[in-house]
Amino acid sequence: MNNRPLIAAGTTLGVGLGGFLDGILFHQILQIHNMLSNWIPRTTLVNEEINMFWDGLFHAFCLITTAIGLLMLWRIVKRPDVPLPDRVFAGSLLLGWGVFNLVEGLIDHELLQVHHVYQNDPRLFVLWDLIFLGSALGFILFGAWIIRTPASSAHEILARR
Amino acid sequence: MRERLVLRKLSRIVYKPDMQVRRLVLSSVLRSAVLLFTPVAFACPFCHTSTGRQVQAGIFNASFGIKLLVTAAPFPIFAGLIAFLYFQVPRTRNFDKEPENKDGDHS
Repeated sequence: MNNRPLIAAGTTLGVGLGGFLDGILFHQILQIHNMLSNWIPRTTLVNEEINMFWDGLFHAFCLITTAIGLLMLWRIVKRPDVPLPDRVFAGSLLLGWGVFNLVEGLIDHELLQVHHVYQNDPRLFVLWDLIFLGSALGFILFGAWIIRTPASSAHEILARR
Repeated sequence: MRERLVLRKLSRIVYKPDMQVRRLVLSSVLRSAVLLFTPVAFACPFCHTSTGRQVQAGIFNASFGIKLLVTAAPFPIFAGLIAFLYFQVPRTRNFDKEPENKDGDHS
């Protein structure tokens, strides 16, 4: 059974949607950080606008990723040799979300430090960054577990809880 | 004389609230009119205003390329990881008990 194309497509979609969730929830609704808010502090209207521009570019990359994921999924749907189990797709979406959080958390928050998850209080930089990375590991492990666990076993385990 | 005084007092009582409303309406209209002529901070990157030009200068400067690279940095890694998933991950076991079809006909 060749699940790899579906896992790749689902993960791509998960990465794109995870990016959108991060951008919409953290950048726009909660406004706890922006793309370059550690490099360009959001202390003036001009700086806020500059950050908004880079947020827009980040969202554009997320949109491209999501579009590629959709294209991959569309091609898979037409392939008779690729099965489409719900659990594999759901697990792949979670895996992609986790991959997004892990890579973004390591590169943007820790390595380049362009922003931190909670930019409004420097004392909480490390705590929130660690929570973000923890969520990444959780999503990756849970996603991988859903993908690899047989459908019947997954139902039994979830029913027991 | 007394009647006049009473009338004046009455008129004040009757017209005072009306005057207050008039003043309120007039002041609101005037304030709104003043707001129309106050400088508005059009701050988009392509706005031809002082703030707009500052935003433009803050974006399109010598560090534009670096910031673009930084913003895009995670995405090639995502592409690499997804390519790895597609080409390298071993096939998952057949837990769904679906019959293997050698002809590739999946129904």
